[in-house]
Amino acid sequence: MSRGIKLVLMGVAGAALLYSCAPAAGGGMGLLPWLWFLGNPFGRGPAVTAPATPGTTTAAPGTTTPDASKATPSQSQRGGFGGTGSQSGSSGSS
Amino acid sequence: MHRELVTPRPGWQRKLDELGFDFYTLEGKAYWTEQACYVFTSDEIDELEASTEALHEICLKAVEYVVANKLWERMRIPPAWGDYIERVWRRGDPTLVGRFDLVYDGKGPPKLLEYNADTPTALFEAAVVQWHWLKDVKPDADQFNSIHEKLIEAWRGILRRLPPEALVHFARFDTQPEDLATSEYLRDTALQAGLAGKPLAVAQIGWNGRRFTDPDEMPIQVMSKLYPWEWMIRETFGAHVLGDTTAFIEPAWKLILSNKMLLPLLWEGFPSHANLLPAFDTEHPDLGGAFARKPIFGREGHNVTVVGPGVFDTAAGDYGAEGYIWQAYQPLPVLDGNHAVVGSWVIEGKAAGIGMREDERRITHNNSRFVPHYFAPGGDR
Repeated sequence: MSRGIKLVLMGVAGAALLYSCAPAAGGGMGLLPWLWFLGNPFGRGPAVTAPATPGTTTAAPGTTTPDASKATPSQSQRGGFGGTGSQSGSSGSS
Repeated sequence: MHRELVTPRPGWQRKLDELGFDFYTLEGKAYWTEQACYVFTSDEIDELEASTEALHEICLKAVEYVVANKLWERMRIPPAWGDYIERVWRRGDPTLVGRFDLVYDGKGPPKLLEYNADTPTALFEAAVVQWHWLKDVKPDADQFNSIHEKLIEAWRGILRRLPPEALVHFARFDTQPEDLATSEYLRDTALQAGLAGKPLAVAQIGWNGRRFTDPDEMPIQVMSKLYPWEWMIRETFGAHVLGDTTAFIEPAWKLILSNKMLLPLLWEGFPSHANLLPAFDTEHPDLGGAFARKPIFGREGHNVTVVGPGVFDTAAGDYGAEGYIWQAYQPLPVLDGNHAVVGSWVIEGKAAGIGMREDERRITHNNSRFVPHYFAPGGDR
């Protein structure tokens, strides 16, 4: 296989991967890949970007950032936490 | 330290409502009272501050001791969780907040009763509500209270460790007003620090086979939870935590500090420490015949029994399955018939302020009244 053909195939594969990750693709993963495969963010060391200037990036309650707002089409199981609390009342320590 | 009777502010209920503090009565009884306040000297505040930081420092040493020696069985922590706790401890997953409950009368050093290190509440009252009371009622006085500023600063430190697009989910029981207020206040301080925050109920937390998710199927990267670790580890989703795909605030190493077995451990490691009471994992002669028996994983004073000459009090509850510890009984100071306990806040390891609670009973519980405090700068009363 010539080098040119290999490059074309790699390009097609790369485009297919990107497409599969796009939320609009429907059957894709629906979220940028890093968000799925990276673990606990505290395990990655300090963020490389500078911290937000206090008071300038305050988000309104319930708002989300652009990447994080992309939902996945899969359905999660729920109710796996909270059973003890629903029997015991307050879960805080006052 | 003394208790001073004061006149409540005209329209005080409306003032509290305007702050968003709507649970000043709980189960038909006053939870917030401003018919009195606690008064400290600046020297007493200095002593509380220094003792709080000293206690937090030895608590961190206790965590290291437990982790290094894998004392999971003694701490009643499933061994499978040991590796996870060690990982987040070694990695330095950040802590935000905790609260020591101290017995203090101004005459001797503060003594540790317990460390509410995982899911402390009464935070909003201590940080915001009593501060507004001070400005209205004692504008020339001071208050040991930098909780709000320190929380925002702590969130900024957490923000620096997260990717710029990070979102923090705030999980709590929405039906519990105190839990809801605490979690919403934490979210507010996170927002002020520049983080994005999204609330969710504990029961809404999902698992999609790879990650925890919220009801919109959004992966949960960081979860500020007001739900105890000792409950999480035994629930259906608990095992998924071990995959370490979500960061938790407070981190799992707080399970060592919110655990009453911490008290005997501290006494073994730092015997005769000025801020500790003798504590053991069994009845012991050094208790001196007066003790408080506490469940290893207990909350809100439930299943605590106080025994001593002429003294007996016990609180019912469903805790104690993991066993008990015994702590020498140090009576709370009684002022105007009220047993007073100091809740001393720790934020990022620094003493940040206090909240006073009082009750007719010896055992403080979740409905014990919150009472504001002040101190006179310069040591004058």
